[in-house]
Amino acid sequence: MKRLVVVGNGMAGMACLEQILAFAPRFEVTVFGEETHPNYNRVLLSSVLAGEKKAEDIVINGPEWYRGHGIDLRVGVRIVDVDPLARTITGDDGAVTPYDTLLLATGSTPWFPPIAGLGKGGVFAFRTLDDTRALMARSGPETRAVVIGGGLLGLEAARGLQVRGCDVTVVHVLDTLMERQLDKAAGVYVRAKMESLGIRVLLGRTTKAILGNGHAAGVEFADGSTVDADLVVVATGIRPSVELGRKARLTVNRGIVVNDLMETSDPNIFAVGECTEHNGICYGLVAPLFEQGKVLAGTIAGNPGPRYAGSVQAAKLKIMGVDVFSAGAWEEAPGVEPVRYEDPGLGVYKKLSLRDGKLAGVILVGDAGDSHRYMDWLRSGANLDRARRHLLCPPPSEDAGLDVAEMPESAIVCGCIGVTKGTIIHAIHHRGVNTLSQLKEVTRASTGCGSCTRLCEDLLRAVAPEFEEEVKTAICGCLPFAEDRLREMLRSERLKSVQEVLDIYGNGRGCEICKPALSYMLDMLWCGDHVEDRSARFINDRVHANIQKDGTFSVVPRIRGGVTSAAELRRIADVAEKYNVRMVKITGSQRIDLLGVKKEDLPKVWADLDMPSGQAYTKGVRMVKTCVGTDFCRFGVQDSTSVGIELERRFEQLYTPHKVKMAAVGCPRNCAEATVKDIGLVGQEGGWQVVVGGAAGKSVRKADLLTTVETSEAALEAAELFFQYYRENANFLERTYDFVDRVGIEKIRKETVYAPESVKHALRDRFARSKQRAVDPWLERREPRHPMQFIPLQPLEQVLA
Amino acid sequence: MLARREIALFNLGDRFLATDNRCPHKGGPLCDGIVAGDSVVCPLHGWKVRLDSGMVEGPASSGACVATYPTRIEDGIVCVELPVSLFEAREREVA
Repeated sequence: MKRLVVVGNGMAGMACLEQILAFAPRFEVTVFGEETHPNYNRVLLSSVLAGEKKAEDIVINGPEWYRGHGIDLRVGVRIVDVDPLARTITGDDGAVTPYDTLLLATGSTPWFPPIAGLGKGGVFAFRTLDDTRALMARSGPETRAVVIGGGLLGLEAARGLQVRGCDVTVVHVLDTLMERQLDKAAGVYVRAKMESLGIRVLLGRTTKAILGNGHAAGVEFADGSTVDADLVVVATGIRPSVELGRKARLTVNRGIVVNDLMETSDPNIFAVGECTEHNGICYGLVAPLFEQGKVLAGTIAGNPGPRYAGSVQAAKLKIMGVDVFSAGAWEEAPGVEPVRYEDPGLGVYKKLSLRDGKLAGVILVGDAGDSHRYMDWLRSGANLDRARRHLLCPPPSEDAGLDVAEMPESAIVCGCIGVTKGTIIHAIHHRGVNTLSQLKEVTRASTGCGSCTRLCEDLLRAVAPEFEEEVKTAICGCLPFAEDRLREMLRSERLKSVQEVLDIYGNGRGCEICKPALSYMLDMLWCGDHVEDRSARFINDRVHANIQKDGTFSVVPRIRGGVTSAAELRRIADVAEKYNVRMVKITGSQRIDLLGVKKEDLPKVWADLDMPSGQAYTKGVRMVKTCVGTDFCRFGVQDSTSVGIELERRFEQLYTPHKVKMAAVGCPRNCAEATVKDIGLVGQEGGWQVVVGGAAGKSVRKADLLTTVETSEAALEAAELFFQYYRENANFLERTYDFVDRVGIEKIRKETVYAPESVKHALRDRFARSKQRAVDPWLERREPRHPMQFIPLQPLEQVLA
Repeated sequence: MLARREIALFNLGDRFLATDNRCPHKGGPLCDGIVAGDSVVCPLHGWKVRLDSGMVEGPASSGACVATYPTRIEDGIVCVELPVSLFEAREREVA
């Protein structure tokens, strides 16, 4: 077998190797990687920095892939020399490895402008996973970060750092951002977007020096001005890593020169990716790497297919809420017709450059939804004369599936990996692909930047016989995201107000569905450290009482475990008389309901009761129903009353996706009906059963057993784990019985009571944080949220008087 | 409230809109609802009422509507233009 040695364990090298293995698995393959990590998706490092993804999420090929293909992977080794005559390479560990075929996929290295003090502590590049980890370790709330470089990478780094809580300034040497991808007008829009996110942008500043004694304390510009900084990221561009090409005496200009078959000047050495130069162009983006890799795989496997004719350069800024897309030659030149559309109010700017009736380049800011259409036009070179009227606003298409149907088979769906519609349809028909994850596995489509996910799903929906929807539906028309995705976004983007979320990701308005849902999520995630917007809440949560059909309210004080006292009952009776309460009712939940209280009387009623809110009006912890247990009952085997009261005390005042009703019973006779409650504790000889997901309302469902434990404390802890898990993972207005049904009790057990100690600890921690900030809402009687909170409409005469 | 008629005033951020405060369904207090775009959702049974036209949007078949009143802002004060008939009704009440 011939020995194929690959230098470079990055995206280009491994994508090419995947293709080679698919064509001709007749090599003995050795891969050298300078980084100590498995092959990962470098494009997504900014998502890791921003906390949207974890390092393990961006791994493309794990160790098992290398093992499975018999590849000898050597990480942490830098290749320092090539001997093209002896056909050997030498590592920095001194080891010499012979090759028959050598593939250089060395990528590129960050380029730094001449700035004094780049060696100081706190100065970073942003190129590798190690760089990203170092940045994450050194940044946090109150870190002042300066990012030098206003290009794609610099802006993504800036947003990532800002999401981590840093105070961020972007410094750019030119007077416009992303000048390689955008014209000046588009740059202005991007600048405004970045500034609206809270990132400072300084243009036209040449950085002269990093200030500080041994560690960065600021940066100094050529004009003498300075900015303070604890952290400096230099993202000023990349240069092809061509050192080994030179050592191998290959033809090297800016990059290692390759021809249309991706051959270098040495018949045994090939090169792919950012380290190469083809027709005078060095590519620095991901899609060309895959296109080159495909051609090269054919060449190396001795089965040359289509020649490499260069790539259409396309770039997309991966910052949520800042849509920026650029492709092709958009520059103005003689013979190029620009077509523009702008809406400064919306922050939308679009520009197409036409040459000879064909699309030559495109810039989209603020709305990149059509990028696929333009990429298709760019790649196909279609004549657009007949489409001129619809260039920037395509005729509306009612059926999402239509778009896909209209695409030709040769159209590229996934631009990163270069997967065509034909390939996907083939995979669906002949490889049994029915789900998005199967499609990813088989074709790798949508595993790059992920922007084609919707197209892939549309195709699956249209073509796959048994397509299984994986993505849950959007919460409502205002916000095009499923709830789990929303929670993730709120967390990673540190969004803290309903309006902010709607402005950035939604239609800016919101409705009765998304506003209360967002209010809940913000409260659950930030525990009071968020902007509480009462206009986004249902009336019950504005005045902490349950609205009745006549516009009056009902008042239910907290009576933990259903256990009250003569003194409490006397106060309740006095209140009922004093405020002419129309009905005093014992509820099904062992509580007392005072019905028909006027809005303006609520604060007074609460004060006179001098009891906390029973929260019988909200999506939150309602009550724990108990039996008398061992205290009095001759059958009781567990102290259900005390345990029930303790359960209520621990969970009360917390908000939940939907109401949570609980019960604790002292024996399996189940007098307080614990097995049809959201959470039930069922006492038995020697311990407790903890059951969850029961219901006896609109739905009737017997609760599932979560766990069986020996002590009361263990029962409370198990209930707490489930409770917090439900709070964090259920959709808003999803009762535990729907949640348990949807997720499955086995998965819930694995992720709560049977989870690793660290996971349980984290759940308990977040629960404790919420509980610590929770307060009795009826205390708002002393400090109303706003002066009119409990004031009904007044007669005009009184208002005017 | 004028002549036992309650008027609800909504602050939509960029403008103020005024309607009767009674939902045409079961008389729910519209001012206690959640504003959804140009509409308000009644807190009792979720009827959706357009604030500019007064038309009930949901359920679409109801065909019901509430009265709306023109508003304008004068020197930072929101003015609601009410029909003369309401003031006459109040005169009768007082008398």
